[in-house]
Amino acid sequence: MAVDTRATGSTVNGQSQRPAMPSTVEELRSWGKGDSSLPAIDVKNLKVYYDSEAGTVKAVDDVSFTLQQGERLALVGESGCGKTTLGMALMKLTKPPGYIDGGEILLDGRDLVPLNDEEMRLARLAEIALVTQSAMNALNPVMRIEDQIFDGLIDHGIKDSKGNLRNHVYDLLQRVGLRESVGRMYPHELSGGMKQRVAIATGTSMNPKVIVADEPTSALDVVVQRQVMMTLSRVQRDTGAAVILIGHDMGLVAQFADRIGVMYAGKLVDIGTVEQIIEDPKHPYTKLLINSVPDLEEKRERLTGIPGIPPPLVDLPSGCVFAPRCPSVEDPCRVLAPANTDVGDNRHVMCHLFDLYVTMAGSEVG
Amino acid sequence: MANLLELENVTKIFGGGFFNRSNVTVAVDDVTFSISSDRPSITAVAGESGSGKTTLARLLLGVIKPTFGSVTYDGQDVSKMSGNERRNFRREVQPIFQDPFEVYNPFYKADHLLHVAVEKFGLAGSRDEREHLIREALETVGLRPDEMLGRYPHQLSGGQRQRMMVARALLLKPRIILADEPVSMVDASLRATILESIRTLNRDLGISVVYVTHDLTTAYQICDDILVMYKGSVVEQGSVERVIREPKHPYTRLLVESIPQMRADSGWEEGVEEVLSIDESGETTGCKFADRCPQVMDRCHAEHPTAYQIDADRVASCYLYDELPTANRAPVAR
Repeated sequence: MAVDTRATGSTVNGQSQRPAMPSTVEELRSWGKGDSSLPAIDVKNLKVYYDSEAGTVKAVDDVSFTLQQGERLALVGESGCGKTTLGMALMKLTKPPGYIDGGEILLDGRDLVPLNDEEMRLARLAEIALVTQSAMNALNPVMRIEDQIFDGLIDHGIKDSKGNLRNHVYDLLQRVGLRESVGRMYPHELSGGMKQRVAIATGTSMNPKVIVADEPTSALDVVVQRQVMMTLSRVQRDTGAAVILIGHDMGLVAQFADRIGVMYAGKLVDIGTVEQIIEDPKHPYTKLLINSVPDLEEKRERLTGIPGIPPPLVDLPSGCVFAPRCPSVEDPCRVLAPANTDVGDNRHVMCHLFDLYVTMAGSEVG
Repeated sequence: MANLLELENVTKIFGGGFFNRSNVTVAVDDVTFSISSDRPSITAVAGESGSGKTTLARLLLGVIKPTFGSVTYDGQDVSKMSGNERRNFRREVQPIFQDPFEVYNPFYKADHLLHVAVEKFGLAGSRDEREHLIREALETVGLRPDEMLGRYPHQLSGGQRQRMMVARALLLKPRIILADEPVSMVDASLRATILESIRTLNRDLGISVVYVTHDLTTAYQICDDILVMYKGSVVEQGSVERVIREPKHPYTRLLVESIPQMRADSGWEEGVEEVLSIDESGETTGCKFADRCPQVMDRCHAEHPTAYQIDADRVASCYLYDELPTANRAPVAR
């Protein structure tokens, strides 16, 4: 373990003030209550790049956002906009040739970026947990459900009697609306919705401060989807964890989240509360995204999508990345990239319609 | 009123066989509906996975034969067609599949698919004519031919590929297009574009469309009529406006309530999840939804309900409406 001491100074500092990892089920119950004065997660200028033959792919480019304790944030955008890459980077599960090029991920005040593999392994599950898209593939087919949940606990230093562990697992299963007997079952005996709920139970088994849920219901039918989302909702309220929900279904996201972040070509272009985003979309891309979602309110004469396709991430347009598809594009947009602008009420928009450049030029400001 | 495509009491049973009566799956159970030739329509076949909607689509295409009942096209039984009739049927009823990635051969250019269609059905006399037909079809679905022709499948986006499939169907001048989940694998922003191009075919070219989907929102937006399926049976069918706005069958209600609406002011109610999560049981002689139904009665377990005529435009198979007259004919395709 001598290698571990090579950790950077800040980590050592951060580490020394941290409460000890729980070692029994009893200690686990009081674990995970973070310092309420700090945001649950504070991402600053995070960059995730991939090196390819064609050049550097900027999959996540200079993304910043803050998530308060117990808050639910949804990240939306078209496929390939970098939302999953961002989610994986928060878990520090970026796979080569991808790498974190810079920025900070402050989880309860501690930066995850400089952590070494062992420190990060301990932080996963205990402090930040992942619920993936395909729970079916995340489960080991030849292990009973309870044994799979034990595994995570034991690997994170929980040393307790089998009885205590088992009771803990039953509590977890009950919390996600599953019977105790599910613990003795194998994955193939469960339906898709049940597996996804097992994934939620596993993800919250150590009371993490942050849960990253990457499209947890995309393979499920509407009725089951609603069931799983309500389970996640209840578990979130019970544990007080903050949730980052990655999804593309605006309807689903509106039902679940407190705030929505809209991503486009690796950038977070619009972030605000659900009301702000849906009732008063500011960024032209957000507007188009919302208009492209059909609803049951009224039958539309025409269904309109977003014209064009997202730009290749190796060859981003200079200026604003959305300029080539933007209906309100103007000359400066093609040259100068817009800054992340606070338009009030903790709402951030990355568009020249709202930033200083246009304000000075005397144009309309939102 | 003539019916272009008609299903009469169609049942499809998979598995089983002479020695194994127990292990059978009734994928489609006594379904009757028709598409009129008088007026081009868009009909949705909606249901969750396992509801039998794709089996129904395959029956309509004549890919599989019904165990009981009949599928007729233009008055002819689809399973008893002669070579020429079948050929004609295969041109006039065109499928569009779910996955816009699997239908293309990665070694051929994407437009190979269009060339093959023109050649096999002898649609063009010359090279120029073929080129013209292909360009025209691409333009109809909103693609620019110069950007599409000569490209390989991997160079096109999912939405472009799927619209190219619509163009291929269109080339053959079909009377019916059967689209099986055509937008479930593309991004939400592209869905609208593809559905709009399908709607154009219906409005401008008079092609009837059967839209198989699990997504009631898009069905509501583009369709005239809808069949809601549950475990192989049609539980409710009629005008999309009535069925989705005022669902009568408890299952349809559950489905409509479960659609996540993009509104800031409404959250899902808590507490109903337990009602939703009752374990599925196996065979039943009664209503298939009885185990999950919040309004279940004793007789629901005993016998399968027939279809009751709720109003002029709609029928529902549920004992809640047994004081209403039974429907003798499905109302779809007025």
